[in-house]
Amino acid sequence: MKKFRIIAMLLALSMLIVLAACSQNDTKGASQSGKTDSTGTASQTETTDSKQDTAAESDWTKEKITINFIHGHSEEAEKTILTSTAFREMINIYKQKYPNVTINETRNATDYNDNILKLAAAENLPDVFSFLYSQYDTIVGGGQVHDITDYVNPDLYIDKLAGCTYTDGRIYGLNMKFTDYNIVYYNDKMLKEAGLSEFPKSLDELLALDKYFDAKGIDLISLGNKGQWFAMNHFLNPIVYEVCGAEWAESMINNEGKYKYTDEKFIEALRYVQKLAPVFNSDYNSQDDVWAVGWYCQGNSFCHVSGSWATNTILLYQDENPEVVENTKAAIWPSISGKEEDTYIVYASTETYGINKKIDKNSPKFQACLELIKQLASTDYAEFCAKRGSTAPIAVETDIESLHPLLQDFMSVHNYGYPKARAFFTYLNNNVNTRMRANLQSLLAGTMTPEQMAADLQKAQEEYMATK
Amino acid sequence: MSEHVKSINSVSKKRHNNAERPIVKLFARILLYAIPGIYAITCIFPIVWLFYTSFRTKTQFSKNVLALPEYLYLENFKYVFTELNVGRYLFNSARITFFVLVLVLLFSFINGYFISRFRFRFRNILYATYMCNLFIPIHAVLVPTYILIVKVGLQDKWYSIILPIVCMELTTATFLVQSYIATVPPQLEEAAAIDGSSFTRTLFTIILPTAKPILVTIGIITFFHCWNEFAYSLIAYQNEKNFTISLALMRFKGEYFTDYPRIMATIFVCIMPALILYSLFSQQIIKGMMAGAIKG
Amino acid sequence: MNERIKPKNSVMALYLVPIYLVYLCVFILPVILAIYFSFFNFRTVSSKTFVGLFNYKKLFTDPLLLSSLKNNLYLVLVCMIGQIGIAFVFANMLYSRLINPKVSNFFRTVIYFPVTLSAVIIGYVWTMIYDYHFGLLNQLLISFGFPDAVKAWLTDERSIMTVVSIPMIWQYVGFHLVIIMAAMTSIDKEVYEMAEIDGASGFRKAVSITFPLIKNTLSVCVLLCVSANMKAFDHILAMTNGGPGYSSSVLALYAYKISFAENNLGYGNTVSVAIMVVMVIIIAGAKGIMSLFKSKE
Repeated sequence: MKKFRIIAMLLALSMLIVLAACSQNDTKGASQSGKTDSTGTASQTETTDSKQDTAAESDWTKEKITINFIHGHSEEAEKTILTSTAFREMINIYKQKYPNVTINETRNATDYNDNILKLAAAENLPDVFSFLYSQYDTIVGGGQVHDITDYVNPDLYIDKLAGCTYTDGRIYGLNMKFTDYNIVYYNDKMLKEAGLSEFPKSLDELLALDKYFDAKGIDLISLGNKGQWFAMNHFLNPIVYEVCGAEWAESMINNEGKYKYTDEKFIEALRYVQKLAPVFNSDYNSQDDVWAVGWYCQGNSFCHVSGSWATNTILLYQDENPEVVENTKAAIWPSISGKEEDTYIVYASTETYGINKKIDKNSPKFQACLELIKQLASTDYAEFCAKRGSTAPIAVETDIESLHPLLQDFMSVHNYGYPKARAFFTYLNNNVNTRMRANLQSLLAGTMTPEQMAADLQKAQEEYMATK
Repeated sequence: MSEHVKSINSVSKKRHNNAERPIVKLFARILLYAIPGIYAITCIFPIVWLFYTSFRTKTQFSKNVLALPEYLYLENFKYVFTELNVGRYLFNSARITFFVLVLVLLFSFINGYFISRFRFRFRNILYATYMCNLFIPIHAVLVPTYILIVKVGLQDKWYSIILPIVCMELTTATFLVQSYIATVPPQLEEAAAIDGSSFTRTLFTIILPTAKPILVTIGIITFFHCWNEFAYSLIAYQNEKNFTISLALMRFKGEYFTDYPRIMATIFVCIMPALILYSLFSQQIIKGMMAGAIKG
Repeated sequence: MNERIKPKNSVMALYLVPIYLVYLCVFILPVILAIYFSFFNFRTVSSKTFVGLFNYKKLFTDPLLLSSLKNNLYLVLVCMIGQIGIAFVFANMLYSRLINPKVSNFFRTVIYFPVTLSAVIIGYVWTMIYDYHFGLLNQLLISFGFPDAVKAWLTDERSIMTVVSIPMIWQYVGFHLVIIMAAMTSIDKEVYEMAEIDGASGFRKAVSITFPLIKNTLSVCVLLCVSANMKAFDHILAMTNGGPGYSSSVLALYAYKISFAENNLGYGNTVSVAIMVVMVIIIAGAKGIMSLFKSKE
């Protein structure tokens, strides 16, 4: 009889215990790691002399360290997308170099950018994580990432680490990717058949081809804009730089408040963008970018606009659609005027890897994390990418001749020396960014006028300035 | 009443009305079979389409979307199970569902029993709070729930969403048990008490078995709700290792959008468990879920 | 009541309190938190600034909130007509004497099947159906000779809500069908027999016998439909993610996006509070309207 009562009590209590255990476990874990951190500090001296630094370095390689690490590279991407393959390679190199470090990876390829904000909002970021420049307000502003200005050498990087320097002039991480966003991959054979010898230099010339391809049942440009930022980076970005001028665009990125989105120039740029809608495949707003590459490779469109990463995606179709792949060439997205000085190349140094501020700066764990992010944005990474015809934040010598013709083509566009435009998706503040992406879908679909969109963006910008 | 019917019957024998005319009747019958029949086909055909397309290649598919497979191409399924590791996500979902089932059955039984049998001090408050569930859409309070989950350290654990789902299911289940227990005479427990059985023993050895039918119903409802749960998993899980099947599906789709048959194979595998269970126990499932819907 | 078998208070507490506390944490606490958070502006939890009613003022001038609410209401309306209407018609057809009960039962079973699938699966199955180039719908339109009707279904902002609501209707017809049929079995068969003898057509039977007799059940269906569609989230997320633009955004999705994608947690929580208020108003309103009908009887 008593047995039953005891069992019942146990059952009822089990819930409480489970709850309590869950919360306790975590705080325990945290306090434990805190303890080891502080003992680690005690064993080191406090001076940050360079000599002491190397001493500390040899120290941390002997300790058992676990790094919790979140990133957006899926297993599938690591097989097919070059930057992700390179990323995995760097992790492997790191693991070999430092067998004492266990990397506890969390993969999250679905809506990674939203997810990182989610984690940041609850102040629950892991030890090492990647984030975008547009998220600096939350992550840096919320004091969740270490200032690593004293530990890195900006001269090593092409952009002198401007892409990871916050408005306070400090550096908060290292960027792994360096990407162009408005490269046109076109079918040269189709171009010749249409009676042209080279890819159009001006937008109107390109759009004029639509009639010809339309008659053949071929889309002029394949676009998968479900992810929303593609149309923004590929089309809106260069057009805004050209129409409004680089000074205007840079001022908007830096939130200087000098100009407004409701400026007539910007509205005019939006009008140009809206004109593009008919030349895409008609389901552009509900398809993914990966789909759009496939659509192009299967010969259903004349060209596909994308970033540096698309070269490798296209080459994956070599077995299936050799004819299209062999005839694919790269060009820059044409400007409205057709003049070279107006033809901007949209780029971003992106995917900042940062270290959680909860980690003690003097602990061995910090060293291990620092080494990890340095490995990700290293010369190794740059060389790995360069050998495969892709770009990286560090300039390295490459033997272009040995590359596939398409990659050579891409490299020549990349190195041509067009004026540079910073990519909106990476650099604009998050408020305007989300609105711009969503509104752009409506603008292209024709349910929003350029004036409405401009007014909405300006409102978002003012809200951002008010809450900053 | 019956006399009345008889009298009408005798009248009707004399005049033949429209409904009795054979042609009209046949026509009506055809319509009665055809309209719901066609609708039923639309319900099942997409699933059939997914199924047979899973055995085709990407190229075959792009040539003719509707055609049947020419031969049994198994690569898609192989890919789903080896590369995508769908088994893992199915396991995650199954594990969560199992624990949710056990806990929901246990606690809805306890709550329902007490609320139905006894008047006690906080009974009404208890009842009212459990009712609240019906008016609070969890989708609306995802943000505070997420912050809460993180603050109690429940994030990204395989068991993260068990308790939230248990609570979500508890309301309906409790009410079902409550109205069922009301039909069980209390003499049963009184007799047991006279025999010297302790309260707990009576509860679990005497009352619990009598409540079996309603517990089966609750089990069915809970199973499907839990298996299909999405919102809590969306906020609780960051690590793909812990993803439930719905969440995993969300990720697959974004990535492999060029290969339609492969996505279809993935979707089909995700449908499989529900499909199998449904084809085995459809009558019980329909009854159970309906009871839950009306009482809840 | 049942004092003789009632256990001691301490035993009862042991049984009831633990899960009750958990329940409070899971359901009641978030609501309190949402209300509390809605008075702040913040990007991360520890850096909140009190802004008073600022967020609530914003609520009333936010066009996107209004359009999301409109979409919710549209869904409620369309699904109410679609789900319950179709279910009512089918219930009457399948209940008819002219149809073999086995076949009728089989139809019911098949039509109910989509109810058991998750919203995400329904969403993806229907994106495959709606796909422009390889979708089932466009293929069928072409093979039945309507090539002009072919379009990119999930891209057109004007019709997107209708397009999105069809899978939701499709999924839940079976659900309401089963409820209505169950209610019909409780109607005395003789009532129908008498009506048939009087020469009542199927339509007449449905309108003047079935409908008034199962009114209560129908009102349950309406309530379920209203609350389900005010909560709509998963289907939309899976099919369009609120797009193109914000054209298929619904309240719950909008709150989620504001909070996590735009990282404006204070306002996101304000939208959450607004959803709950709207929900209570609409459900109370629906109940009120239905009780009005009842009292007329």
